[in-house]
Amino acid sequence: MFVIKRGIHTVPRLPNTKALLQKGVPKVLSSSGFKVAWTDYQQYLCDKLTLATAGQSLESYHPFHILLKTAGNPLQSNIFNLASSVHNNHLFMENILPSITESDSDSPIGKTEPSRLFLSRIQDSFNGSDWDVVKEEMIHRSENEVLGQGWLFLVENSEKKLFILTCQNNGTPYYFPRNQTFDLNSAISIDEFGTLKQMKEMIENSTKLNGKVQDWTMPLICVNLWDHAYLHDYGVGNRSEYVKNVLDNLNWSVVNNRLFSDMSK
Amino acid sequence: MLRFAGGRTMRRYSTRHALEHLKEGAPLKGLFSVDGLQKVWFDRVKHLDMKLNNSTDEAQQKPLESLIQENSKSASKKHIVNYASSLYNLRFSMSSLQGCARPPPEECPRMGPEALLQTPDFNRAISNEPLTTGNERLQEALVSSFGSLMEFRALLLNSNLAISGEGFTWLVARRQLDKRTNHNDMSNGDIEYDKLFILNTYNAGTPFNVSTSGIMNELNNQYTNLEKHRAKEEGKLNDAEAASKHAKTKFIYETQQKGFSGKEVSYIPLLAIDASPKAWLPDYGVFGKREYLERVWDSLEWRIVESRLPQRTKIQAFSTL
Repeated sequence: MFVIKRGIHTVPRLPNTKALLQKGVPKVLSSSGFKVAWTDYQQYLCDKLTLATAGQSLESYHPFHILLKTAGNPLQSNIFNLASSVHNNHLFMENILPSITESDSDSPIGKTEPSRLFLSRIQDSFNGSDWDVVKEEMIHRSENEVLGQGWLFLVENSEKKLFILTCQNNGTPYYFPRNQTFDLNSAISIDEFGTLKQMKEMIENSTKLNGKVQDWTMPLICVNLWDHAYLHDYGVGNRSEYVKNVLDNLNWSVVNNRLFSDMSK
Repeated sequence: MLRFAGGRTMRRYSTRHALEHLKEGAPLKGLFSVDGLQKVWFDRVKHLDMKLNNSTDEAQQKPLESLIQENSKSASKKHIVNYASSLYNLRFSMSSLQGCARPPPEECPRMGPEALLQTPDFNRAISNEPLTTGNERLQEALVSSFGSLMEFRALLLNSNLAISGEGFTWLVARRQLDKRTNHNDMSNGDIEYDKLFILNTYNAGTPFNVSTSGIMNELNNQYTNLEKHRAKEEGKLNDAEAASKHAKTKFIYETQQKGFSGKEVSYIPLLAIDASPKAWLPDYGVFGKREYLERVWDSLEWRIVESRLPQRTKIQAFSTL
């Protein structure tokens, strides 16, 4: 007997949707800004993904698995792009939503803070710089490296080091050949060329041996740099101001939870 | 004194890039509302111009084309090229948009998710045909390159629709120069083309390929030399293996660059359409890109496009590649 499973991608339900639609995300997005960035844009991506995967073996997968499955195949770029941005946009919304305690009472006690583990991990990974310095660096990198649309991440690699990652268009943090960090429309330096070349060789060698390139990078903080996220509220040329607002008003209970903490020991 | 002049132009909407038919505080009829045009054009020009001025001192004296050409191979100057190229592309795309007779976008209901499921209307007659505006030469060129105007329209708009991030869709005329012949016949200044093409560029990509062609090959040479150097220092140089590897990639890059015909190819832009969400989000919403493109088609001023069209090459034989 066959079990027929078919997936229609729908916009994930967020806690407190009503309050969000009325008030937006405090200090980050207005209510109509939130509607463009989440309600409309996520709906658009989900519908497009449903249409793009209908009738294929991919149709019963979660967006996350679709993005991993299609990341290595350039002929499935259209599907990868949609799945990756569906996933990224959800990551982004999760980490800017006000935590429940914050929106219930407007008391400052409910405000979440970065955990001690996070702060010490930041210092270990960025030569002793503290979170404020790293924040500045993140804003600077997004301004300098992403000219068009894209994503800004703080990620944790398999050695549990943190670093900043920028992605062009719909790049994903989970699979380094698809990070899309370099904008190949502009001239690239010899170092960047070397990185690309090494990446190519790694993929070639691994496919020759029938293996897979392994990448265990996990995103901790995700910022949407697409026009859909900020243009309505901040206007042209003010993206950095928006990035700063996002990083200043993160939901730390979400970010702290994403960080690897070795609980088994 | 120069610095003073530079500082002054930074603050206002630079007249250098101004287009006559676009007025601040007015809509572009049938295509952009006042607010939409502000975001599409004025705010972006101001922003890009400011960025360009910040990245180079030469921005005021040199035309955008030469800023792009001169700096396009240098990674450290990529910001200059990016901003100059974005400005050039944006201005180029806006220059042929003259508005249309459709109702203003802000008065029409916003498209919802149903826009994605719309069946294309196959029977529609094409509006705003070059023929009806008296541009027969352009119409003829389009028909001979794309089969029919309907095919051209579908290809042009769908190419733009396929850009998911930022970019431009161009109509370009291809110019092929045979490297083996000398170009004495070209000395009279006549530019000729053999076929029209539709081309997508992404982010600040430019349709002018001349300046960057061969750059991957150069980088590859540099990289191989570096590798050789490193291997020599480590004392384990395998010359034969490295050389064959290098020859292989070199061949790939060179073929990509020249094609198999051995001709030098360049493209003359005739028309550009902006795919950036900055162009359609404010007026048409998340689901409205197709609606935006339909209106862009109606707003095209073919007279300007035709004025950029060079003469067609007379010899057509064997040039179909």
